[in-house]
Amino acid sequence: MINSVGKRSRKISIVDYGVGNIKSICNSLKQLSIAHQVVSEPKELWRSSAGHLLVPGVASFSSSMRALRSIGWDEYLIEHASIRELPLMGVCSGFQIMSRVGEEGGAEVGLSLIDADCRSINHGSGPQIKLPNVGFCQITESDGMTELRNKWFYFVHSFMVFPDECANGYDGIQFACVEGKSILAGIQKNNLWGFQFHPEKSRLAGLKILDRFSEL
Amino acid sequence: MRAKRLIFNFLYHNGSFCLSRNFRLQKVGDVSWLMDNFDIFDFSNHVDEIGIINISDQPFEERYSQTFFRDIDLLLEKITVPVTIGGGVTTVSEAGKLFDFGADKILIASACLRRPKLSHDITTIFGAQSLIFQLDIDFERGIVFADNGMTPFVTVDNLPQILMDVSAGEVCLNSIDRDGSGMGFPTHKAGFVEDLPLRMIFSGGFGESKHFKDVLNHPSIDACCTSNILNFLGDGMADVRTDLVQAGILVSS
Repeated sequence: MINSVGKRSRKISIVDYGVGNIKSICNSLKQLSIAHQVVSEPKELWRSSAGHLLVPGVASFSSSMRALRSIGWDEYLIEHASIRELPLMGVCSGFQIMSRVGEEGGAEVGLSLIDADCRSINHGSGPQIKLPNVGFCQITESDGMTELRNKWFYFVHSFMVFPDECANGYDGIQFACVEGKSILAGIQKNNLWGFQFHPEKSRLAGLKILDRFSEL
Repeated sequence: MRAKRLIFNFLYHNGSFCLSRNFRLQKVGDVSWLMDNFDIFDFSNHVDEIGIINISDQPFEERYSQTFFRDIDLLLEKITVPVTIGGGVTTVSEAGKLFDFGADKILIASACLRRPKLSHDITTIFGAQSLIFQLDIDFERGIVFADNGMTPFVTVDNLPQILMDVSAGEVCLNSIDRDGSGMGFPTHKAGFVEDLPLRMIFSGGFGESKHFKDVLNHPSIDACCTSNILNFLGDGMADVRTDLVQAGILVSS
Protein backbone atom coordinates (compact mmCIF):
# COMPACT_ATOMS: atom_id res chain seq x y z
CA MET A 1 0.00 0.00 0.00
CA ILE A 2 1.58 3.26 -1.12
CA ASN A 3 0.45 6.33 0.78
CA SER A 4 0.50 9.94 -0.21
CA VAL A 5 -0.38 12.63 2.27
CA GLY A 6 -2.71 15.41 1.25
CA LYS A 7 -4.34 18.34 2.97
CA ARG A 8 -7.80 16.71 3.10
CA SER A 9 -8.89 14.44 5.89
CA ARG A 10 -10.61 12.04 3.50
CA LYS A 11 -8.47 9.60 1.61
CA ILE A 12 -9.18 8.01 -1.76
CA SER A 13 -8.02 4.43 -2.23
CA ILE A 14 -7.13 3.55 -5.81
CA VAL A 15 -7.65 -0.05 -6.88
CA ASP A 16 -4.52 -1.42 -8.53
CA TYR A 17 -5.55 -4.54 -10.42
CA GLY A 18 -2.72 -4.49 -12.90
CA VAL A 19 -4.51 -3.10 -15.93
CA GLY A 20 -5.42 0.47 -15.04
CA ASN A 21 -3.37 3.61 -15.38
CA ILE A 22 -2.70 4.37 -11.74
CA LYS A 23 -0.12 7.08 -12.25
CA SER A 24 -2.32 9.64 -13.97
CA ILE A 25 -4.98 9.25 -11.26
CA CYS A 26 -2.34 9.67 -8.54
CA ASN A 27 -0.84 12.71 -10.23
CA SER A 28 -4.27 14.32 -10.51
CA LEU A 29 -5.05 13.71 -6.84
CA LYS A 30 -1.61 15.04 -5.95
CA GLN A 31 -2.34 18.24 -7.85
CA LEU A 32 -5.54 18.55 -5.83
CA SER A 33 -3.72 17.78 -2.55
CA ILE A 34 -6.15 14.92 -1.94
CA ALA A 35 -4.70 12.15 0.23
CA HIS A 36 -4.68 8.85 -1.58
CA GLN A 37 -3.29 5.36 -1.48
CA VAL A 38 -2.81 2.65 -4.06
CA VAL A 39 -4.15 -0.69 -2.90
CA SER A 40 -3.08 -3.88 -4.66
CA GLU A 41 -4.99 -6.46 -2.65
CA PRO A 42 -8.51 -6.22 -1.22
CA LYS A 43 -7.61 -8.13 1.91
CA GLU A 44 -6.09 -4.91 3.18
CA LEU A 45 -9.54 -3.32 3.01
CA TRP A 46 -11.74 -6.12 4.37
CA ARG A 47 -10.24 -5.41 7.78
CA SER A 48 -10.46 -1.62 7.70
CA SER A 49 -12.85 0.35 5.54
CA ALA A 50 -11.40 2.00 2.45
CA GLY A 51 -13.62 5.07 2.59
CA HIS A 52 -13.58 6.38 -0.97
CA LEU A 53 -12.59 3.83 -3.61
CA LEU A 54 -11.65 4.60 -7.20
CA VAL A 55 -11.40 1.95 -9.93
CA PRO A 56 -9.37 3.17 -12.92
CA GLY A 57 -9.31 1.35 -16.21
CA VAL A 58 -7.69 1.23 -19.59
CA ALA A 59 -8.16 -2.45 -20.50
CA SER A 60 -10.98 -4.40 -22.09
CA PHE A 61 -14.02 -5.43 -20.03
CA SER A 62 -13.05 -9.10 -19.97
CA SER A 63 -9.38 -8.41 -19.13
CA SER A 64 -10.49 -6.09 -16.35
CA MET A 65 -12.92 -8.58 -14.82
CA ARG A 66 -10.45 -11.46 -15.04
CA ALA A 67 -7.79 -9.33 -13.35
CA LEU A 68 -10.20 -8.21 -10.62
CA ARG A 69 -11.37 -11.77 -9.97
CA SER A 70 -7.87 -13.21 -9.85
CA ILE A 71 -7.13 -11.20 -6.70
CA GLY A 72 -10.61 -11.13 -5.20
CA TRP A 73 -11.41 -7.52 -5.97
CA ASP A 74 -14.81 -8.39 -7.44
CA GLU A 75 -16.15 -9.56 -4.08
CA TYR A 76 -14.74 -6.61 -2.20
CA LEU A 77 -16.10 -4.03 -4.67
CA ILE A 78 -19.61 -5.45 -4.26
CA GLU A 79 -19.18 -5.44 -0.47
CA HIS A 80 -17.88 -1.88 -0.54
CA ALA A 81 -20.58 -0.46 -2.81
CA SER A 82 -23.67 -2.54 -2.01
CA ILE A 83 -23.25 -3.70 1.59
CA ARG A 84 -21.18 -0.96 3.19
CA GLU A 85 -22.62 1.64 0.78
CA LEU A 86 -19.35 3.55 0.61
CA PRO A 87 -18.37 5.91 -2.23
CA LEU A 88 -17.16 4.09 -5.34
CA MET A 89 -16.07 5.73 -8.55
CA GLY A 90 -15.30 3.86 -11.76
CA VAL A 91 -13.48 5.39 -14.70
CA CYS A 92 -13.71 4.08 -18.28
CA SER A 93 -13.54 0.26 -18.07
CA GLY A 94 -13.58 0.71 -14.28
CA PHE A 95 -17.08 2.11 -14.85
CA GLN A 96 -18.08 -0.42 -17.48
CA ILE A 97 -17.43 -3.37 -15.16
CA MET A 98 -20.18 -2.09 -12.86
CA SER A 99 -22.58 -3.50 -15.51
CA ARG A 100 -24.11 -6.97 -15.54
CA VAL A 101 -22.24 -8.20 -18.61
CA GLY A 102 -19.71 -6.89 -21.10
CA GLU A 103 -18.85 -7.91 -24.64
CA GLU A 104 -15.35 -6.50 -25.13
CA GLY A 105 -12.74 -9.24 -25.34
CA GLY A 106 -15.46 -11.93 -25.18
CA ALA A 107 -18.66 -12.10 -23.13
CA GLU A 108 -17.92 -11.65 -19.44
CA VAL A 109 -20.03 -11.23 -16.32
CA GLY A 110 -19.57 -7.92 -14.54
CA LEU A 111 -20.21 -6.70 -10.99
CA SER A 112 -23.93 -6.00 -11.59
CA LEU A 113 -23.82 -2.84 -9.48
CA ILE A 114 -25.95 -1.02 -12.06
CA ASP A 115 -28.83 -2.19 -14.23
CA ALA A 116 -26.98 -1.99 -17.49
CA ASP A 117 -24.95 -3.97 -20.00
CA CYS A 118 -21.75 -2.94 -21.75
CA ARG A 119 -21.80 -3.34 -25.52
CA SER A 120 -20.17 -1.93 -28.64
CA ILE A 121 -20.92 1.76 -29.13
CA ASN A 122 -22.49 0.78 -32.45
CA HIS A 123 -24.76 -1.84 -30.88
CA GLY A 124 -28.37 -1.61 -32.00
CA SER A 125 -29.93 0.89 -34.32
CA GLY A 126 -28.93 4.48 -34.91
CA PRO A 127 -25.86 6.07 -36.49
CA GLN A 128 -22.75 3.91 -36.78
CA ILE A 129 -19.61 5.82 -35.85
CA LYS A 130 -15.94 5.19 -36.52
CA LEU A 131 -14.36 3.35 -33.59
CA PRO A 132 -12.73 3.86 -31.21
CA ASN A 133 -14.27 7.12 -30.08
CA VAL A 134 -11.12 9.07 -29.21
CA GLY A 135 -10.74 12.64 -28.09
CA PHE A 136 -12.36 15.42 -26.14
CA CYS A 137 -16.17 15.30 -26.38
CA GLN A 138 -18.57 17.89 -25.08
CA ILE A 139 -21.27 16.93 -22.59
CA THR A 140 -24.55 17.95 -24.19
CA GLU A 141 -27.02 16.60 -21.63
CA SER A 142 -26.47 16.49 -17.90
CA ASP A 143 -29.04 15.74 -15.26
CA GLY A 144 -27.78 15.87 -11.73
CA MET A 145 -24.27 17.23 -12.15
CA THR A 146 -25.39 20.20 -14.21
CA GLU A 147 -21.98 21.82 -13.99
CA LEU A 148 -20.73 19.23 -16.49
CA ARG A 149 -22.97 20.51 -19.27
CA ASN A 150 -21.00 21.95 -22.21
CA LYS A 151 -17.69 20.92 -20.63
CA TRP A 152 -15.15 18.87 -22.59
CA PHE A 153 -13.84 15.52 -21.37
CA TYR A 154 -11.46 12.97 -22.81
CA PHE A 155 -13.04 9.77 -24.10
CA VAL A 156 -11.20 6.77 -25.49
CA HIS A 157 -13.40 3.68 -25.95
CA SER A 158 -15.15 1.37 -28.39
CA PHE A 159 -17.69 -0.01 -25.92
CA MET A 160 -20.07 1.75 -23.59
CA VAL A 161 -22.64 1.20 -20.88
CA PHE A 162 -26.26 0.85 -22.00
CA PRO A 163 -28.55 1.41 -19.00
CA ASP A 164 -31.94 -0.31 -18.90
CA GLU A 165 -34.83 1.71 -20.25
CA CYS A 166 -35.64 3.26 -16.90
CA ALA A 167 -32.71 5.66 -16.50
CA ASN A 168 -34.59 7.93 -14.13
CA GLY A 169 -33.44 5.84 -11.20
CA TYR A 170 -30.18 7.71 -11.25
CA ASP A 171 -29.27 10.86 -9.32
CA GLY A 172 -27.38 12.05 -12.35
CA ILE A 173 -26.80 10.96 -15.93
CA GLN A 174 -24.77 12.62 -18.65
CA PHE A 175 -24.51 12.19 -22.40
CA ALA A 176 -22.29 13.43 -25.19
CA CYS A 177 -23.37 13.47 -28.81
CA VAL A 178 -20.82 12.17 -31.30
CA GLU A 179 -21.56 12.07 -35.02
CA GLY A 180 -25.26 12.02 -34.23
CA LYS A 181 -24.96 9.20 -31.71
CA SER A 182 -25.77 9.61 -28.03
CA ILE A 183 -22.84 8.43 -25.90
CA LEU A 184 -23.39 7.71 -22.21
CA ALA A 185 -20.79 9.80 -20.41
CA GLY A 186 -21.55 9.12 -16.77
CA ILE A 187 -24.03 8.15 -14.10
CA GLN A 188 -24.34 8.83 -10.40
CA LYS A 189 -26.54 6.83 -8.07
CA ASN A 190 -26.23 7.25 -4.32
CA ASN A 191 -22.67 6.24 -3.47
CA LEU A 192 -21.86 5.04 -7.01
CA TRP A 193 -20.22 7.31 -9.58
CA GLY A 194 -19.19 6.14 -13.02
CA PHE A 195 -17.67 7.98 -15.94
CA GLN A 196 -16.91 6.71 -19.41
CA PHE A 197 -14.48 9.59 -19.93
CA HIS A 198 -11.27 10.08 -18.02
CA PRO A 199 -11.53 12.91 -15.46
CA GLU A 200 -7.83 12.50 -14.73
CA LYS A 201 -6.99 13.34 -18.36
CA SER A 202 -9.52 16.12 -18.85
CA ARG A 203 -7.69 19.19 -17.64
CA LEU A 204 -9.32 21.36 -14.97
CA ALA A 205 -12.87 20.18 -15.72
CA GLY A 206 -11.79 16.64 -14.87
CA LEU A 207 -9.89 17.65 -11.76
CA LYS A 208 -13.06 19.29 -10.44
CA ILE A 209 -14.90 15.96 -10.68
CA LEU A 210 -12.21 14.19 -8.67
CA ASP A 211 -12.32 17.01 -6.13
CA ARG A 212 -16.09 16.71 -5.80
CA PHE A 213 -15.92 12.93 -5.44
CA SER A 214 -13.50 13.35 -2.55
CA GLU A 215 -16.17 15.43 -0.79
CA LEU A 216 -18.90 12.80 -1.26
CA MET B 1 -19.58 16.76 -30.31
CA ARG B 2 -16.07 15.44 -30.62
CA ALA B 3 -13.26 17.90 -31.19
CA LYS B 4 -10.34 17.67 -33.55
CA ARG B 5 -7.13 17.08 -31.65
CA LEU B 6 -3.77 18.79 -31.35
CA ILE B 7 -1.00 16.48 -30.21
CA PHE B 8 2.47 17.49 -29.12
CA ASN B 9 5.27 14.93 -29.16
CA PHE B 10 8.38 15.31 -27.06
CA LEU B 11 11.29 13.58 -28.78
CA TYR B 12 13.57 12.07 -26.13
CA HIS B 13 17.06 10.80 -26.88
CA ASN B 14 19.42 9.61 -24.15
CA GLY B 15 18.50 12.24 -21.59
CA SER B 16 17.82 15.12 -23.97
CA PHE B 17 14.75 16.53 -25.65
CA CYS B 18 15.34 17.08 -29.33
CA LEU B 19 14.26 18.78 -32.51
CA SER B 20 14.11 16.65 -35.62
CA ARG B 21 14.64 17.66 -39.23
CA ASN B 22 14.13 14.89 -41.77
CA PHE B 23 14.82 12.51 -38.87
CA ARG B 24 18.18 14.15 -38.09
CA LEU B 25 18.30 15.18 -34.44
CA GLN B 26 19.32 18.37 -32.69
CA LYS B 27 19.48 18.26 -28.90
CA VAL B 28 17.67 21.18 -27.25
CA GLY B 29 17.91 20.55 -23.51
CA ASP B 30 17.38 18.10 -20.70
CA VAL B 31 14.37 17.77 -18.43
CA SER B 32 15.64 20.50 -16.08
CA TRP B 33 15.88 22.91 -19.00
CA LEU B 34 12.37 21.94 -20.08
CA MET B 35 10.86 22.38 -16.62
CA ASP B 36 12.74 25.64 -16.02
CA ASN B 37 11.64 27.21 -19.27
CA PHE B 38 8.09 26.02 -19.77
CA ASP B 39 4.94 25.68 -17.66
CA ILE B 40 3.96 22.13 -18.56
CA PHE B 41 0.76 22.22 -16.48
CA ASP B 42 -0.43 25.28 -18.41
CA PHE B 43 0.73 23.72 -21.68
CA SER B 44 -1.68 20.83 -21.00
CA ASN B 45 -4.53 23.31 -21.40
CA HIS B 46 -3.58 23.96 -25.00
CA VAL B 47 -2.94 20.46 -26.31
CA ASP B 48 -5.27 17.46 -26.38
CA GLU B 49 -2.64 14.78 -25.98
CA ILE B 50 1.08 14.57 -25.34
CA GLY B 51 3.43 11.99 -26.79
CA ILE B 52 6.83 11.05 -25.47
CA ILE B 53 8.77 9.32 -28.20
CA ASN B 54 11.99 7.67 -27.16
CA ILE B 55 14.10 7.80 -30.31
CA SER B 56 17.27 6.28 -28.94
CA ASP B 57 18.48 3.37 -31.08
CA GLN B 58 19.28 1.20 -28.07
CA PRO B 59 17.47 -2.03 -27.14
CA PHE B 60 14.39 -1.63 -24.94
CA GLU B 61 16.03 -2.15 -21.53
CA GLU B 62 18.75 0.46 -22.15
CA ARG B 63 16.45 2.81 -24.03
CA TYR B 64 13.94 2.83 -21.17
CA SER B 65 16.52 3.39 -18.46
CA GLN B 66 15.96 4.65 -14.94
CA THR B 67 16.99 8.08 -16.22
CA PHE B 68 14.19 8.01 -18.79
CA PHE B 69 11.57 7.04 -16.23
CA ARG B 70 12.83 9.62 -13.72
CA ASP B 71 12.81 12.40 -16.33
CA ILE B 72 9.38 11.55 -17.68
CA ASP B 73 7.94 11.17 -14.18
CA LEU B 74 8.67 14.85 -13.65
CA LEU B 75 6.67 15.70 -16.77
CA LEU B 76 3.77 13.38 -15.97
CA GLU B 77 3.24 15.08 -12.63
CA LYS B 78 2.28 18.24 -14.52
CA ILE B 79 0.31 16.76 -17.41
CA THR B 80 -3.51 16.60 -17.29
CA VAL B 81 -4.15 15.15 -20.74
CA PRO B 82 -3.52 11.65 -22.12
CA VAL B 83 0.06 10.56 -22.66
CA THR B 84 1.36 8.24 -25.35
CA ILE B 85 4.79 6.66 -25.02
CA GLY B 86 6.56 5.02 -27.91
CA GLY B 87 9.79 4.02 -29.56
CA GLY B 88 11.50 0.64 -29.68
CA VAL B 89 8.58 -1.43 -28.36
CA THR B 90 8.75 -4.92 -29.88
CA THR B 91 6.79 -7.19 -27.50
CA VAL B 92 3.58 -7.29 -25.48
CA SER B 93 5.66 -7.43 -22.32
CA GLU B 94 7.50 -4.22 -23.24
CA ALA B 95 4.20 -2.51 -24.00
CA GLY B 96 2.95 -3.67 -20.61
CA LYS B 97 5.93 -2.08 -18.88
CA LEU B 98 5.10 1.28 -20.44
CA PHE B 99 1.43 0.99 -19.47
CA ASP B 100 2.52 0.10 -15.95
CA PHE B 101 4.72 3.18 -15.91
CA GLY B 102 1.82 5.45 -16.79
CA ALA B 103 1.31 5.46 -20.56
CA ASP B 104 -2.28 5.79 -21.70
CA LYS B 105 -1.38 4.64 -25.17
CA ILE B 106 1.62 3.05 -26.85
CA LEU B 107 2.98 4.11 -30.21
CA ILE B 108 4.64 1.44 -32.32
CA ALA B 109 6.03 1.75 -35.84
CA SER B 110 8.56 -0.79 -37.13
CA ALA B 111 7.59 -3.78 -34.98
CA CYS B 112 3.95 -3.70 -36.13
CA LEU B 113 5.02 -3.06 -39.71
CA ARG B 114 7.07 -6.24 -39.61
CA ARG B 115 4.74 -8.27 -37.35
CA PRO B 116 1.10 -7.17 -37.56
CA LYS B 117 0.29 -9.96 -35.08
CA LEU B 118 1.98 -7.91 -32.36
CA SER B 119 -0.70 -5.27 -32.75
CA HIS B 120 -3.44 -7.88 -32.34
CA ASP B 121 -1.73 -9.32 -29.25
CA ILE B 122 -1.49 -5.88 -27.65
CA THR B 123 -5.01 -4.73 -28.47
CA THR B 124 -6.52 -8.02 -27.29
CA ILE B 125 -5.13 -7.35 -23.83
CA PHE B 126 -5.16 -3.57 -23.57
CA GLY B 127 -7.95 -2.68 -25.99
CA ALA B 128 -7.82 -1.22 -29.51
CA GLN B 129 -7.66 2.29 -28.12
CA SER B 130 -4.34 1.55 -26.46
CA LEU B 131 -2.27 1.42 -29.64
CA ILE B 132 -1.20 4.01 -32.20
CA PHE B 133 0.41 2.49 -35.27
CA GLN B 134 2.86 4.94 -36.81
CA LEU B 135 4.05 4.80 -40.37
CA ASP B 136 7.17 6.79 -41.24
CA ILE B 137 6.71 7.78 -44.87
CA ASP B 138 8.79 9.61 -47.42
CA PHE B 139 5.83 10.91 -49.42
CA GLU B 140 8.07 12.48 -52.04
CA ARG B 141 9.58 9.12 -52.91
CA GLY B 142 6.48 7.10 -52.03
CA ILE B 143 8.30 4.81 -49.61
CA VAL B 144 7.38 3.58 -46.12
CA PHE B 145 10.44 3.21 -43.89
CA ALA B 146 11.20 1.11 -40.83
CA ASP B 147 13.85 1.59 -38.13
CA ASN B 148 13.54 5.36 -37.61
CA GLY B 149 13.65 6.07 -41.31
CA MET B 150 16.73 3.94 -41.93
CA THR B 151 15.26 0.93 -43.78
CA PRO B 152 13.04 1.24 -46.87
CA PHE B 153 10.23 -1.26 -46.31
CA VAL B 154 7.40 -0.99 -48.85
CA THR B 155 5.96 1.51 -51.27
CA VAL B 156 2.92 3.56 -50.26
CA ASP B 157 0.81 1.54 -52.71
CA ASN B 158 0.88 -1.23 -50.12
CA LEU B 159 -0.41 0.95 -47.31
CA PRO B 160 -4.14 0.17 -47.52
CA GLN B 161 -3.40 -3.57 -47.14
CA ILE B 162 -0.93 -2.96 -44.30
CA LEU B 163 -3.46 -0.82 -42.49
CA MET B 164 -6.09 -3.52 -42.80
CA ASP B 165 -3.68 -6.16 -41.41
CA VAL B 166 -2.77 -4.16 -38.30
CA SER B 167 -5.07 -3.79 -35.30
CA ALA B 168 -4.76 -0.30 -33.83
CA GLY B 169 -7.16 2.32 -32.60
CA GLU B 170 -5.33 5.05 -34.43
CA VAL B 171 -2.87 5.39 -37.27
CA CYS B 172 -0.28 8.13 -37.44
CA LEU B 173 1.18 9.00 -40.83
CA ASN B 174 4.52 10.66 -40.13
CA SER B 175 6.09 12.53 -43.02
CA ILE B 176 9.85 12.01 -43.14
CA ASP B 177 10.31 14.44 -46.02
CA ARG B 178 8.45 17.26 -44.26
CA ASP B 179 9.69 16.43 -40.75
CA GLY B 180 10.90 19.62 -39.07
CA SER B 181 10.63 21.58 -42.32
CA GLY B 182 7.79 23.89 -41.29
CA MET B 183 6.38 23.52 -44.81
CA GLY B 184 3.16 21.76 -43.84
CA PHE B 185 2.03 18.15 -44.13
CA PRO B 186 1.76 16.76 -47.70
CA THR B 187 -1.99 16.11 -47.37
CA HIS B 188 -2.38 15.98 -51.14
CA LYS B 189 -0.32 12.78 -51.18
CA ALA B 190 -2.35 11.05 -48.47
CA GLY B 191 -5.69 10.85 -50.21
CA PHE B 192 -5.78 7.09 -49.73
CA VAL B 193 -6.90 7.56 -46.12
CA GLU B 194 -10.32 8.85 -47.13
CA ASP B 195 -12.03 5.49 -47.37
CA LEU B 196 -10.26 3.84 -44.46
CA PRO B 197 -12.34 3.15 -41.32
CA LEU B 198 -9.50 4.29 -39.08
CA ARG B 199 -8.74 7.23 -36.84
CA MET B 200 -6.00 9.18 -38.58
CA ILE B 201 -3.27 11.42 -37.19
CA PHE B 202 -1.04 13.41 -39.52
CA SER B 203 2.42 14.30 -38.26
CA GLY B 204 5.32 16.25 -39.69
CA GLY B 205 5.95 19.62 -41.27
CA PHE B 206 3.63 21.83 -39.22
CA GLY B 207 5.14 25.30 -39.01
CA GLU B 208 2.19 27.66 -38.71
CA SER B 209 -1.53 27.69 -37.93
CA LYS B 210 -2.50 27.44 -41.57
CA HIS B 211 -0.88 24.02 -41.82
CA PHE B 212 -3.03 22.71 -38.95
CA LYS B 213 -6.16 24.27 -40.48
CA ASP B 214 -5.47 22.71 -43.87
CA VAL B 215 -5.24 19.23 -42.36
CA LEU B 216 -8.01 19.46 -39.76
CA ASN B 217 -10.49 20.79 -42.31
CA HIS B 218 -10.28 17.35 -43.88
CA PRO B 219 -13.18 15.26 -42.48
CA SER B 220 -11.13 12.04 -42.42
CA ILE B 221 -8.34 13.46 -40.26
CA ASP B 222 -8.80 13.38 -36.50
CA ALA B 223 -5.61 14.97 -35.26
CA CYS B 224 -2.41 16.85 -36.06
CA CYS B 225 0.86 16.14 -34.33
CA THR B 226 3.94 18.32 -34.04
CA SER B 227 7.17 17.91 -32.11
CA ASN B 228 8.72 21.28 -32.75
CA ILE B 229 9.70 22.37 -29.23
CA LEU B 230 11.07 25.75 -30.19
CA ASN B 231 8.09 26.68 -32.35
CA PHE B 232 5.12 25.26 -30.48
CA LEU B 233 6.00 24.79 -26.82
CA GLY B 234 5.06 27.74 -24.62
CA ASP B 235 2.36 29.86 -26.28
CA GLY B 236 2.69 28.25 -29.70
CA MET B 237 -0.09 25.69 -29.33
CA ALA B 238 -2.35 28.20 -27.57
CA ASP B 239 -2.02 30.49 -30.59
CA VAL B 240 -2.74 27.65 -33.00
CA ARG B 241 -5.84 26.68 -30.99
CA THR B 242 -7.12 30.27 -31.07
CA ASP B 243 -6.59 30.42 -34.83
CA LEU B 244 -8.44 27.12 -35.31
CA VAL B 245 -11.42 28.38 -33.30
CA GLN B 246 -11.51 31.54 -35.42
CA ALA B 247 -11.41 29.37 -38.55
CA GLY B 248 -14.47 27.45 -37.34
CA ILE B 249 -12.67 24.19 -36.59
CA LEU B 250 -14.08 22.41 -33.56
CA VAL B 251 -11.45 22.08 -30.85
CA SER B 252 -11.99 21.50 -27.15
CA SER B 253 -11.72 24.29 -24.62
